[in-house]
Amino acid sequence: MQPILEDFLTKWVYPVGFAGAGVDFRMRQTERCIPVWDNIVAGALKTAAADLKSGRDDWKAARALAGYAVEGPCMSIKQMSTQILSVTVDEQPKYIDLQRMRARQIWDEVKHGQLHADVLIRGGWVKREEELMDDPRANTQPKLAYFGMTSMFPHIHPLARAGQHYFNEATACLSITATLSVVDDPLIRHQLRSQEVEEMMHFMEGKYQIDAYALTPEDQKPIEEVFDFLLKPWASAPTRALGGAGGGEPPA
Amino acid sequence: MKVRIDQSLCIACGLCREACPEGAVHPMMQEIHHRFEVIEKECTGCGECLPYCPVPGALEQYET
Repeated sequence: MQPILEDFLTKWVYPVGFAGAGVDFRMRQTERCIPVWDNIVAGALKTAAADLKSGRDDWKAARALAGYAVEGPCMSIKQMSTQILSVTVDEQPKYIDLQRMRARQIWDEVKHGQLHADVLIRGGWVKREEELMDDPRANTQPKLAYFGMTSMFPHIHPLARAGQHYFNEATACLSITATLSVVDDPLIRHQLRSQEVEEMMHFMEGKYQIDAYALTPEDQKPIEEVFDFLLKPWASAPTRALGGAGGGEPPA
Repeated sequence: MKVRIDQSLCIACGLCREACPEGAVHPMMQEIHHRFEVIEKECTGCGECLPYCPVPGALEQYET
C-alpha cells in the first residue's frame, strides 16, 4: 500500500467519533475503495514525476484547465445546486446539517475555480478569466463524471452525495498530497494548497454523513449505489488537475 | 493613483476581482484563506472596483 494512503487511512478514515450501523457500513465500503485509492495515489505520483520530467510548463496549464472544468463557476453551480435541491423543503429539518455543509462547499468550489483561473493568468496562458468561457478544455470533461449532471440526477436521494463526498473527496486529498510530495512549484502550490485542506473537510462531511445517517438498509442503499457507480473503472479516474487522465488537453 | 486592500477589513468576497477591468486583483499566492491582493503594476487606479466593495475602507485609493 502507498504510504500516503496508509497515513490517510490511519489519520482520517479509521478514527470514529461514535459507533453504530453507519460506521460499520462505511468501513465495508472503505474496503472496496482502498484498492482504487491505492492505484490513484500511484497514478498521481507517476503523473507528477512525468510532468516535471517533461521540462515544459504546459502541463501546469493542462492541470489548471481541467481543474476549472470541474470546479469553475459553471460546474460549481450545477453540482452544488443539484446537491442543495436533493433535499425537499419538508425534509430540511432532518437534513439541515447536510445543507449547511453543502452551502459551505459552494463557497469552496467557487474559490477553487478562481485559483485554477489565477494559475492560468499568472502563468500567462490567459489574460482574463472570461477567456476560459470559450475554451472547451476549461468547461468539459472527457468521461462520464460524477460531477456532471447526467450522473447526479440518478442519485438525487439526499444521502447519495455522501458516497460521492467520501470516495471522490478522498481521491482529491490523496492526489493533492501525492502531487505536492513530488512537485515543488509556486503555481501548483498556489493551485492546491488551500484545496488540500478544503477537500479534506469535504471528505469529512461524507464520513460524518455516512456514520450519522446511514443507519438502516433503506438509508444505506442509495449510498451503496453511488459506490457501485464510482468504483467502476471508467468512473473513478481523477481529473488531470489531480494527476489523472481526464481533461485539460486539446480536444481531439 | 493605485488601489490597495486593507487586509484587516477585507472579507475576501472577491467582488473587486470581478469588477477590475484590468484583472489586477488576484488570489494571494499560496494563501489558504482565499484572501486577495492588488498587483500594483497591473492596477491603473481607475477606481472601478471601489463602489463594489461592501466593507467601508477595505479598498483604498492612494497616490503613488
